[in-house]
Parts: sequence; C-alpha cells; structure tokens
Amino acid sequence: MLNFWPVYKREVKTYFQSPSTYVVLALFFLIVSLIYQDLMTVFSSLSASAGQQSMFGQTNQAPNVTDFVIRQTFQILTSLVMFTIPMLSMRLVAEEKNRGTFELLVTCPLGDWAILMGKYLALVTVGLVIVILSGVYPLIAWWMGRANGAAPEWPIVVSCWIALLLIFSAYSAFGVMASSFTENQISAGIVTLIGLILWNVLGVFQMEKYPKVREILTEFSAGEHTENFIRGVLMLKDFAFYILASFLFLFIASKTLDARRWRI
Amino acid sequence: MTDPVGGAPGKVSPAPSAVAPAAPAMIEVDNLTKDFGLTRAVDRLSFTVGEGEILGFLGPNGAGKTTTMRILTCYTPATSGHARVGGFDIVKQSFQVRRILGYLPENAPLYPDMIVRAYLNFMAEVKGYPGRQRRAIVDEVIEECGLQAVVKRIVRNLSKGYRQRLGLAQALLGNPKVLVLDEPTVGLDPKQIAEIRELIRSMAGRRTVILSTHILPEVSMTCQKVIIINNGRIEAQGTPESLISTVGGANVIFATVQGPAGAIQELLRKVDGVTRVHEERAIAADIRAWRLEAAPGKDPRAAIGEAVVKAGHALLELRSSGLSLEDIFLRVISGQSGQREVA
Repeated sequence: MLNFWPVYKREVKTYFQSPSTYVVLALFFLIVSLIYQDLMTVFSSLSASAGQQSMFGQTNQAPNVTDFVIRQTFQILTSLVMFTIPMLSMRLVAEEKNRGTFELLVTCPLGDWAILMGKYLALVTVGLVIVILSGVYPLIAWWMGRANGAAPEWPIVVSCWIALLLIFSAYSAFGVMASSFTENQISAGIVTLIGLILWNVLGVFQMEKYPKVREILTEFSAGEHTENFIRGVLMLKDFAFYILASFLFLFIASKTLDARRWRI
Repeated sequence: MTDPVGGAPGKVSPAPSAVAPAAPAMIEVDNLTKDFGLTRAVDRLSFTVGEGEILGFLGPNGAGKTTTMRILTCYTPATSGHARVGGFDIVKQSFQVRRILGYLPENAPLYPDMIVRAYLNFMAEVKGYPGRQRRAIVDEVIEECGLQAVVKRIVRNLSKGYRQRLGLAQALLGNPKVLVLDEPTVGLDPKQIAEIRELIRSMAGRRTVILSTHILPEVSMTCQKVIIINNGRIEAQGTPESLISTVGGANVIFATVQGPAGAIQELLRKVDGVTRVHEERAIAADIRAWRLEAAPGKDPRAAIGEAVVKAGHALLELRSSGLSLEDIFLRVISGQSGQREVA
C-alpha cells in the first residue's frame, strides 16, 4: 500500500499530459462560469433593487452574497463533479485490464492496494486542481462586491471548498471501483455515472409509510452530508462519511481485483 | 523434490539421465491443476527446471501454456497442486516469487503513451529499485535488448519487433533469476526471431527461463528441455534429442542416384537397416530421388553409399533427415505414437 508512488506518479503524468483531461476541465469550467455569470447578474440586479427599496423606507433585506452566490456556486460545482468524474475515472483500471498491462503490474512485487491507491490519489490530485481553480469564483464575488462591502463569508467559503474536495474524493473512489469491475472503459463510465446519480437521489424518495427507511436513505445519500459544510459547520461525522465511503469503494475495488485469485 | 521426469503415468518418459537437472531445481511444479468452471485448463502438471536451464513449453493453442505461466507468475492461483519458484511457494510467498521473476506476458503489453526509457524506468520503479540503482538497471537492459536506437521514441510508434524487445527488456530489469516468456517471438519477422532466440540462448546457464511457443524449431534451437503439453497434460518431456530417440520411430534418409530405377530400388531395399524405399520424384530421365526409412537407432548411410557405388551407379546425394521435433510433436499431439502408453 505504501509503494503506490510509482503508479501515482505515472497516473498524474498521464492526466496532465493527455488532451482529454484538458477538454474535460475546460468544459467543466465553461459550464460553471456561464451559470456563475448568470448568478452574478441576477444578484447585482437584486441587490440594486433592494438598495432602491430601502431608500424609500421599505425594510426589504438585500440578498446576501454568501447565500446567493457562494452556496449556489457550490451546488453547481458538486453536481457537475458528478458528471466529470466518470470521464476522468473510467479508464483508470479498465484500460490496464484491456491492454494487458494489468497482468504486468500485478506480477510485479506490488500489492493491489498500491495500484489502486496510486490511481485513486492521482484522480484526487486532479480534483485538488479543480477545487483550487474554482476558488476563483469566491474571489470574483469578493472583488465585485468590495466597493459596497458585500464580501463573502470566508469561513463558509473554506468549509464549502473542503466539502467539494471530500465529495470529489468519494466520487473518485466510486469511479476507481467501477473501473475495476470491467475491462470496458465505456461500461465503467456508465456504471460510475448511474451509481453517482443514484447515490445522490437516495434522499429524495418520500417513503411516507416508512419514515425510518427514508431517514436512513437520506443519511446515506451523497449530498446530505454537505448540509453542515454549507452552513460553515465542520462536523466529524461528515468528514467520516466521505472518507469511509472512499475506503469502502476502494476496498470493494481491491476485492474485485482479488477475485481473479478466487476463481476456481 | 519430485521426480524430474514427472510422475504422471501413461506419458512418454525418456531415460531419466537425459533430463536430470545438472543444477539444483529452480522451479518445482507438483501436480498443478487449474479448472475454469468445468473446463480443466491444466491437468496435474509436474516438472522441474534446474537453475540456468531453458525450458520450452510446446503445445497447440489452448493447451494450457499461458495458464501454467500465469500460475507460476502468481497472476492466477492453481485450483490444486503446489509450485515453488526459487524455493518460494507461489501462493504463500508470492511477493518473494514476484521479486525474483521477470515476466513477458503474451503479446507484450505496454503503455503506448510512454517514452521507451520512461516506460523502463517506471517498470524498474514498480519492481522496487530505488532511484540510484534504477538508471544503471535500465541502461543495462537497453543495451542487452538493443534498444539504444529507440530510447526516446514513444512506445505507440514502435514496430512490433521493438515492442517485443521492449517487453523482454522489461522482464529482464534487475537481472531476475527466473524468466517466464509467453510466446516471445510471435509476430516477429525472421531476422527479429533469430535475434530474440539468440538473446534467449545466450542466457543459458545464467538464468532459468521458461518459454512457451507453438513454433517447433524455436524449441530445438533455444531450449535444453522440452515439455510437450496438450489439453493441459504433459504428453512428453525431455531434451529435444531424447524425445526424438524415444518417440521417433523411423530415421529418414534421402538419396539421389543416377541409374535404372528398378535395379536401384531393388538394390536399396536389400541394404541392411533399410526398412522402406519410396521413390520421391524423378529429377531427370535416369536420376531419381529416393526416400528411405531406416530402423530406429540405425544409420545405414555408409552401407547405402557402398552398395550404390559397388553396383556402378552414381550417388549424387545422400543425407539423413532425422525425425524432426515437428514429426514428434504431431505424433504426440494426435496420439499416434505407439510408445505413448509405455510408462
């Protein structure tokens, strides 16, 4: 598990040398930026009209930049990550299996965990780049609003962005797992996408007759545990949720790779 | 240690002295069996390979060669049976086994998007060689496999021959004690095949090599020991020579003689040791090529020459074409060998 470094290094290099990564990232930031630009326009017109109303003595609250821009941007980022991960993760193990290099790797003195960890951490590194780059959005909000003192609440920004990285990691682990199921990249991508969507909608079902079931499902849904982060509250259980989920998926992936040793 | 000839009954077992490993056993395989569902891919395989020996696995496609190699390289486990490589158990000490083993899987899988040197460097890293040693190790295999001209090329753009060599170079990284090569010459042109064979042959004595092939001359050219495998079972094993002498029935001789056909045929038939005379073809009006079969273990060439010349005919050509490994292979595989059932 500790000698994941060579695999990690190779995967990071592959990510940042491959044009497809840049296409995916460009598409990601294009979509986020378009929506963000729209948000900002609506926000500035809202706050302008709120300002006018308050001049006439009405007590209408001006929209808060953290509520209106930061949190919504965060929601957009997390939902887009769901679509981005499959594109980045699908090749990780499936491609190696398909090319036969998997056989080469596992016959080297290297554990399955080292291979999986290397690949997983490489994808998380891409996630870190995405998280850092998307830090530009709160910065723009701050820069635009600095004249009238409408700065975003930085602690909330930080906690949201921590949540973004945690979500990205958990989704990455899911992607690595799906990729280890098959040697077909496309299937891996589809399984990842469907899986992530299902994981997100777990809490949506009303289940009026079984409130207990609904409660459990909600607790296990991917989005549920961002609620505290959005409010700027860092809770151990939310960290634990995403980290344990990552470990669970990687564990299943390692068992999947191990399954070739079970076949009788 | 198991019997070097393999204990399974009903197999061609040449004289043990012919195959007894000169050196301590590097690879010991004992009753290895592998099932895929209801299909038995490998059936109670037992053999040993001495240190520094080159063993050729010969068999038609689907005979179980690749499966056996995958078991020995710890890629997939056997259903039952044991094997030790370099004294380490392949299941319980798989890590140690993988450390002393170089493996070239079928079709030499590579990372197409990497540069040749970077690929070798990566594989050396994966095999656990620290940075200081790595450069020397990589340089060594580049030299040994003649890759100097392509070190800066991208793997994707390499020719099939170079890819195969790169796969071999990867297996040679760090000078492993045991090399497992799955069809190392498949898809190469004749010159490249000759080069790879030469490379493998040059390893004799220094490394223990198992190679699989379905090309016969390859085995007789490179290996000191041959195992013919079919339907997952060992059909015959021994040195190429001992196989020929055990399985090989007739010794075939070709002779070209000038003179009247009828008289010559009569003459040849009478030569001591000749069992069959067959007219191969007429080269000219009075020149004919004959195909003679001699009794096993006899070489009647001197007698043939003497008889022909004594009778006043001109002997234009006389050569022995001992039963080739190819004939043995076909006999063994198709179960025609009369001695197959002799234990």
